[in-house]
Amino acid sequence: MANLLSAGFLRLWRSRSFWVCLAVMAGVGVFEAVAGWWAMMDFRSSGAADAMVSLDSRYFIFPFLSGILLSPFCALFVGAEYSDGAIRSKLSVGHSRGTVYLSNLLLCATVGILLCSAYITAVLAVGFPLLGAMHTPLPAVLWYTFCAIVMTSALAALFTMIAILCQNRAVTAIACITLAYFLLFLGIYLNARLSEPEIYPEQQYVQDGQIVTEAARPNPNYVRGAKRAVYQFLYDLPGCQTVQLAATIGTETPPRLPLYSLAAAFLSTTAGILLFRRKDLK
Amino acid sequence: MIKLFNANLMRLWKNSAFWGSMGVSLGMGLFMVVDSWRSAQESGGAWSSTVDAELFKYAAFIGILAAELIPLFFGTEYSDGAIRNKIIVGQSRLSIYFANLITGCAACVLCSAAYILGCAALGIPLLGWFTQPPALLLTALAGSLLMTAAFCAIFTFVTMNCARRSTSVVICLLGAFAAFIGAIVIHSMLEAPEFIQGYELSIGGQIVPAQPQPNPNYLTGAKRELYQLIFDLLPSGQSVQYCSLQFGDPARLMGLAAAVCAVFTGAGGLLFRRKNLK
Repeated sequence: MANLLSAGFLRLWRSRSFWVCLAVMAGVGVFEAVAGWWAMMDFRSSGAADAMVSLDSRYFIFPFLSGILLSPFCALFVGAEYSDGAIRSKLSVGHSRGTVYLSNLLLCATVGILLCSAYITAVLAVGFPLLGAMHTPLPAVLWYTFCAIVMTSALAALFTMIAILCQNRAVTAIACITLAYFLLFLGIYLNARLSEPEIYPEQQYVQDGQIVTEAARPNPNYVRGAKRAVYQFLYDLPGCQTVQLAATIGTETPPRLPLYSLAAAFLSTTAGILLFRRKDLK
Repeated sequence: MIKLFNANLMRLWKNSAFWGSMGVSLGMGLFMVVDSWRSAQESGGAWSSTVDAELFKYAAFIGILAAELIPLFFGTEYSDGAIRNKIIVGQSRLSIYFANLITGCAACVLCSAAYILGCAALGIPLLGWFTQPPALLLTALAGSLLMTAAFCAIFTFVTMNCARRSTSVVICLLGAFAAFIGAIVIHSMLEAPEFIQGYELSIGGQIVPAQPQPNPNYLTGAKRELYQLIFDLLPSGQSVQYCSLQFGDPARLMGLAAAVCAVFTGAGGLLFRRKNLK
């Protein structure tokens, strides 16, 4: 396992896709900080009353990007093992399929953490002098960052499972990228559905110079019962969690989210190893 | 060129990715109608839908399908060495490029047709006959097909100049999703209201009208024109407009889509002529 990992890290160091992904994450971090400062200058020049743009709004973007950039990386990096015949070589020198799988998983999870770190470093290094300190309390920021990193690692587990069970690198890339975006859009949809109010409150408005009072009424689009439980379960899955993390900034990120991420990582890894053991590597 | 096109069509007919895309398009057409009909039923008559509203929603996903199908289908030509074989038997590089571009467009038009057929076949019995004027529907059809051709020209440009199939898949797919997200962001910026209407207050029975405040996020002047141009130029921006059947100047949109086709095909053909095929 240690040999596989050191060989993997050596390959990672020379991997072009790794450096491209890292550069994109750091570049977006710098861009977000500069764009925030630019917007603040714009607001100030137009004389807006509240011309502040906080660093917080720029910092919390990275979970949206980490999963999306990790998906092509895992597909290309792990998929190269099939196209180059490296997997068969590893097995023929005596490594078990389980260790080959786990070494790839650890590499992909490490890349996920490095991608998050690249964004965080870049946005803080440029954003702190331009936009000032963050307003969210430090423990909340650290907890959010921890949840996001655990979620990214869980996504790495999902992408590794796909990449190691599918021998066609192009098909793997399509499956991973589509899954990453699907989970993100599903999260946005579920957030909208679960945020529907159960009852529309009493409203007063002016019509033809008269104050009209509209009584409170139940919302027909409110999701309830078993359907709500299913929606909430899906909303807690890694990928969809990105939206939930963004929606809970400044309040409190639920402690169950990292647990769900770890459960998803454990289940996908177990299923992946079991299927990989039976796979015909031709 | 005709021989190449015929050979491509024959290969397309036996390609599982193409039939998968056709299945997805047909399924989406049926799903959109059923979802719309069910929502109308659940609203109890408060909301109704028409088949027209669903007919061009394929514009929202045809770019993603093209980003998967074109690199998968034509990337195989590199990995199997078919491109070199075609050149060895005397076909010019440009004719290979154009045959692939036309085949890609034909595949995407067939996928669009599968969506429209599925949508109309189920939508007319469930949601009723078309309500929009035929001229508007035909303009949207022509414009959305030209937008599809623009997507195909971009993805053919990437695929024919990138020897690695997996890399071209990643570039096309990430580019397509990024372009869609970019288009949605620009759309929301362009749709921002010029003034923010405050709440009207009632103080002691007296109604106090609130003064509308200028919206600092409203785009004005050259900046607005630039954003509008980008929104109209991007095929993903056009797809947002055709999807909702709300497009301002169809001639401008079609002209820009044709320009995208011409620029990418010209650049792609030139680069492919100089490419080292190893």
